Amino acid sequence: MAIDQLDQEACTGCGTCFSACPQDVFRMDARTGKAVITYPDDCVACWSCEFFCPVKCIKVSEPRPRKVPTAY
Amino acid sequence: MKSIDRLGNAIETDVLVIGGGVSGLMAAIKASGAKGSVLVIDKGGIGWAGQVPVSGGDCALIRPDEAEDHFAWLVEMGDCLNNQEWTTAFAHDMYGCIEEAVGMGLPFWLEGKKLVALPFHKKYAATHFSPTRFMIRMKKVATKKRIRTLDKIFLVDLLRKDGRVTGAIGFGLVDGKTYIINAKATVIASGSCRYYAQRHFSVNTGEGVAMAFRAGAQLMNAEFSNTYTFGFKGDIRRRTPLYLFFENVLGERFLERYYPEVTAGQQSAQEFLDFYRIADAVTHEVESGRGPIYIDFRRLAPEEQALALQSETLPARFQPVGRGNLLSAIRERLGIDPDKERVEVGLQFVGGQGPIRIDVDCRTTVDGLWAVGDASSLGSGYTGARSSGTFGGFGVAFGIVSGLKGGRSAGQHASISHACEVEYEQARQLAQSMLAPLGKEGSVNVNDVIYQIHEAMIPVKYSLHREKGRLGQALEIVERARESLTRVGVKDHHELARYHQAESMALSAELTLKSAWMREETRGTHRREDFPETDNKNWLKWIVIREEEGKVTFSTEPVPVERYKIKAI
Repeated sequence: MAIDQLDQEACTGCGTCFSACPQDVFRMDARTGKAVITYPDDCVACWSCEFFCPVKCIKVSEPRPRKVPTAY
Repeated sequence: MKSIDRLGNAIETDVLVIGGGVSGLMAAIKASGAKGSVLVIDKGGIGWAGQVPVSGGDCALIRPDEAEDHFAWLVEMGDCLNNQEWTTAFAHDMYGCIEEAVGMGLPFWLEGKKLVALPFHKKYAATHFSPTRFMIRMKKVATKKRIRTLDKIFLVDLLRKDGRVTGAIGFGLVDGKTYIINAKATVIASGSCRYYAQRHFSVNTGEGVAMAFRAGAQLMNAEFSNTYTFGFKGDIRRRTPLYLFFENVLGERFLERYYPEVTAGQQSAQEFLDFYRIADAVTHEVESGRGPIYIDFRRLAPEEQALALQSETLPARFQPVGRGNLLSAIRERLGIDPDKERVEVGLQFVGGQGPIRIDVDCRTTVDGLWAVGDASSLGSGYTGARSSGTFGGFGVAFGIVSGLKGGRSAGQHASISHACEVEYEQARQLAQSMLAPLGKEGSVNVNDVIYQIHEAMIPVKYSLHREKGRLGQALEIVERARESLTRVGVKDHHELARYHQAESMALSAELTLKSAWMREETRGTHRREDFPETDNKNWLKWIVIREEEGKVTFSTEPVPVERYKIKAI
């Protein structure tokens, strides 16, 4: 599991992760206004959301949910 | 346009830019100078879109007095397969273009009003910028110029009338609506195809290349697209010459066996920095049973440590996101203590299929259509028989140069052209086929299809060291991936975008493999084990791909060296 935590308490609903994710993993919850990890299987563990989150409420771990073949 | 409204959100603009990364916003800003309306659409969020926010923050900088030397070096590196008109334009116009970008207030490293450039490669210097602030600042510049931007819209196909591109059609990832854009000039700036292989740059999935191809645009140099870089597990990236200290499983530093000129000090680490040659040496080592490859920080002499960690001396505001201290990143992100054990490194497949053919104004071969940035880096021919990805800092520089040139040309074209309406029946058919997979129950996950495409692209036996039989095997894998795609279920518009991305990736993979099959020689970064020599007699030619009335043709076209300054190496 690559993106495993989004602290709903700390999230301010700024939408940075929603915009910055290259894999369209997040949606903004219409009711709470906060980010939700909607498509976790598509995360490639690029760390963009964790790096760019202004309140550091997201945690990404190294393994990708789906393996990629090695070069050799 | 009234009837078009029945199909979805219909929008009119003078210039449509597909992709809001550096080349797209640069094109939009330049096009807006012609006074017409400009719309930029991205599948992500503009301000974060494209590759720049996760880039290394390096931008090649060729000063005007170095341009001729640089041009000659690029032609040498490109094994004479360059479109020398573009190579000249890149070398000579780069400095002015980057100064124009500085004039927009983009966060480059300046001292006073002068760009700071540090040695990067013996043949060129690089300036630096803040990767995290660059696109946010660019978006502000665009907004000030009244350029409209739309986020989270995935465009699938181009609209055409009488052989001319008249806009594009796609759907909203979040709102699920169909969008039909009518434009006098359309600029593709949506990057190359990198197949989701690396973690960063995974945004590039080739849909711009695919839509241009389906609209009849010529592609070229597809066989030179696949490059590799090296790095740690988890894509902890460094541009420092760490490769000098790579060792095999036996603890031997092996680079000197392949390139004695580097370790003997006859070539500097910067001069040698060529990802292709390093990947080649690493592959040979692993294939000879001496893998995996490691770096052992405990064995580095103090001066070697300094060299290995040198990028950390850049001011903090120019450090790429998440870079920080290399040794801490290895500890925290990989859970490895470099004081206690050696750290495994490996090859990373970069991809980089951007073959849309363009002239020096970034016009494609189809009326009303331009292409800028990574989508056309191979198709411009400026680096000849190798991908721009084999040199650091070229991608952003080409994005800026091509964005400005393409934006100016597209803006001027739109200012003197009449609107050309969207044909209802064509838009209806394209919308229907675009949305057809939606709601389909399936037995296959689209990510498994993407894995199949990876199996045909990532292994070095298909993309670095090629041979006819193996290229055939890889093509069979791509065909199987296509077959699997027909059994993919699509629940919502997010999954629909992934479906179309997988389709684009399969097309990019097929075109690369078929071009590589056709080129029976070794040149630049295209190596054929069954044709190990460079064959100037038969192969000083470009492979051009086009689709006409549903039929795909691969043909050759001699490089017009008789018109060029450099005739042959």
